[in-house]
Amino acid sequence: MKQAAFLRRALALLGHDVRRETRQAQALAGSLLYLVAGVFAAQLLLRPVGPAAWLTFYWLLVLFVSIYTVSRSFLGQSRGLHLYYRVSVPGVAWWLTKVMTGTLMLWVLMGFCALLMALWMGYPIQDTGLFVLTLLLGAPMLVTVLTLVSAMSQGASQPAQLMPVLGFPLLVPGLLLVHRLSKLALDGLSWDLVWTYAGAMVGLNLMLLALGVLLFPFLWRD
Amino acid sequence: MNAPLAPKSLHPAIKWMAVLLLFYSFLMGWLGDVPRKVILNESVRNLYFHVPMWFGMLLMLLGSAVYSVRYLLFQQSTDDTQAQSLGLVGLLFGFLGLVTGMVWAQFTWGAWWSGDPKQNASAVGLLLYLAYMVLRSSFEDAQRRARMAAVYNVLAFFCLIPLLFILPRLTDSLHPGNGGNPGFSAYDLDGRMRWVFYPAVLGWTLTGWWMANLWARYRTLTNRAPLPLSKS
Repeated sequence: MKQAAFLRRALALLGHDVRRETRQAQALAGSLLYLVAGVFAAQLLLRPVGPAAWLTFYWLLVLFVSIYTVSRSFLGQSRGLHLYYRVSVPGVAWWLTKVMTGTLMLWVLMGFCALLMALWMGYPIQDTGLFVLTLLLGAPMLVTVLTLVSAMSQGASQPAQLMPVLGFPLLVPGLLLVHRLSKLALDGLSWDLVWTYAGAMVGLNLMLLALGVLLFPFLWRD
Repeated sequence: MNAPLAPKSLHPAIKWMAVLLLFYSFLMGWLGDVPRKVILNESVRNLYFHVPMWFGMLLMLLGSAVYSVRYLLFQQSTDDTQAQSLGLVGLLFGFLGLVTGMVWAQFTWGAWWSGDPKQNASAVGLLLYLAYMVLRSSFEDAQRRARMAAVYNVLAFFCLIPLLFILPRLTDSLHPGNGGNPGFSAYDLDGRMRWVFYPAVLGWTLTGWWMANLWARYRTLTNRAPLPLSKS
């Protein structure tokens, strides 16, 4: 019964966070507009665009928009709301909620970015199933690292400047892996190598999630 | 008091050992006999100088991560100072490892920088720990700074492991020991090089420990002393 109660509370918390994000529709709209402007500028500059450049640009844009989107989850919060969460929600629960909400949002943004680029810059991906798998595995990696970094830089003198400085080097291993994986999707070759990279991605995601469970309560304390 | 990295009574022995081991490794590193190999030639001696930097760096950063975990558990500011000083020495070793590797690469691979997976991974590793120093400098409150820096340090160490050990193995590399290139064990047919290499690793590690300890003691003193121009 205890587990059922915990699950109900966790679901309630997730529902609350998703509702809060959707009510602040202007925030998500900001991220979507970021992508529209970014892709539009790129299709003016990158012409003609080769498949390798398409993929590189896709990941760069996803990286930037994820920093922009996730940094809002802590840095954009009002102080009162923040204090309210701190006293009413345990750190680990808040961490898992933030990762799930952020991952959901990033999946939407990644799909939107791919659609926009397909519209304006063509669609060079041969194996769409594998590309979708890459996106599904890539979003939690970006969100876990950036959520931790965003919680860390809260209270620093220049939090917004700190986000990319701390985030980029931490994200490099994961970005290299998703880039390799989506390169395979681009070329549409056999799935021999896929399991190596996908396994490494799953391992990295689990490691980051576990590190968050251990470390997030320390960031939550005040 | 300063949380010692080793019992106080052992300090002189460690320092003397560091000096003797480095003296021996420099002497034998330049004058000792090495196997003759095409392309590598005398540059194989870099094994005594370049590789110990990486061993030293990893041990310093591991020590730094351990002190950060200790800080999170016990909230002693001395643990934070040790973590920072070990991180600084680790950065220094990493930088020297990168430079010695680049000089070697210029003579064997023909370019200072060829985008080799190991070169890239070590450059990103340096960025990780430079970011740690940037993070430290952007907090006013000492306790908050120590806590955030400790969390970041643990995270950075766990991100360094896939970077240095897993990713270079997934790609081809010119680096000795990767992609069909002979590693260290292939050169020392009679084990001669091991007799210089292992003392060099130990000597540099102990020197790094010594440097970190000096720096931590200096920091502890400056934290305690009043500022020379403060009003009080």
